[in-house]
Amino acid sequence: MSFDLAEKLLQSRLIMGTALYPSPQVLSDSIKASGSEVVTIAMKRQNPSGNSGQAFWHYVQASGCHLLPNTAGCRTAKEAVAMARLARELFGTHWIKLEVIGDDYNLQPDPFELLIAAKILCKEGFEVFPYCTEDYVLCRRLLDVGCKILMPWAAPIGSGKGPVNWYGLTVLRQRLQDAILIVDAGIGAPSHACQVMELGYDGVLVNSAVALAQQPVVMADAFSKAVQSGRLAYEAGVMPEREMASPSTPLIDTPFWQQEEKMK
Amino acid sequence: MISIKLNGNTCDIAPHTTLAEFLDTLGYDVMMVAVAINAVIVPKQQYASQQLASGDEVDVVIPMQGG
Repeated sequence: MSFDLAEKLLQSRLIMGTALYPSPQVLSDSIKASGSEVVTIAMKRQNPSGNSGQAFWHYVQASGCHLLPNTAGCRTAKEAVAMARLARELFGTHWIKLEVIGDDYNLQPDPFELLIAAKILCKEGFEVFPYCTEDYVLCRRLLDVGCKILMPWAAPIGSGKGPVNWYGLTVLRQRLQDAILIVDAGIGAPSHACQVMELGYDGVLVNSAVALAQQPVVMADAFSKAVQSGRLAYEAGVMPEREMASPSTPLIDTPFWQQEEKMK
Repeated sequence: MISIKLNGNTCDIAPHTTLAEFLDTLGYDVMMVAVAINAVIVPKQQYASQQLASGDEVDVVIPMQGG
């Protein structure tokens, strides 16, 4: 079950976001319950008077997880590249979850700016995790500029809808067999995570689905089990779907009254 | 005195103030911040030698929760 993610050998295929939790303690407990070894993190401008965020940062550091900084809030390649460079300085990692938003209504990625930023950052030695749609051509282009990991959405960020384009996600996985594909955004329930893992996706990133659950720590555990279950099912090989029924119980040597029924 | 901008807000500081002195005066924990001056990142090891100039735009960022 171990998972090689950008040269880090991980036991968990679940990545946890760190936003929207009711408290830093609940976040910390949820990370532990999830078994995740990678957490996402963001940055904000800090004015001298404020010291908010220190408790959160303390808990994240104490978790021992690998950090995956994001470029949330960026709308152009220029902004995202600047944010990524700051993140590398602040967090001491070359991993970057590249987000370039192109639409306010559904927080859909801007594919054009995303590709420009990805190309620049890959050349600068970043390990770029681009947040993208399930569009095959965009994903192909992102791989062409040096990305090895892609993060297609299941649905708009925070919607909890689960996969809205099942066909698109299925075809993407089938056609990009060598890429690391991690579903990001729109996952609402553990069953959604399990479904995409059964398709052969390499991992899942969840945030709102855990943080906004009535019991986030319990939900983190549920997601952990769902991701493991989905992965095991993928490795085991799900049986092919059939249009017609097929008896699971052999009908030879059945009791006499069933034989009589057949004679009629 | 010279004027600079910190996170978009105007600040007056003494000439030849270094970035390390500036951050210390304002109470920043330098281990918890990253700094860019005029959109160029300043590595931590340069804080003590980096002098601020009139009109500099200084951005100071810290970690926050994110998905």
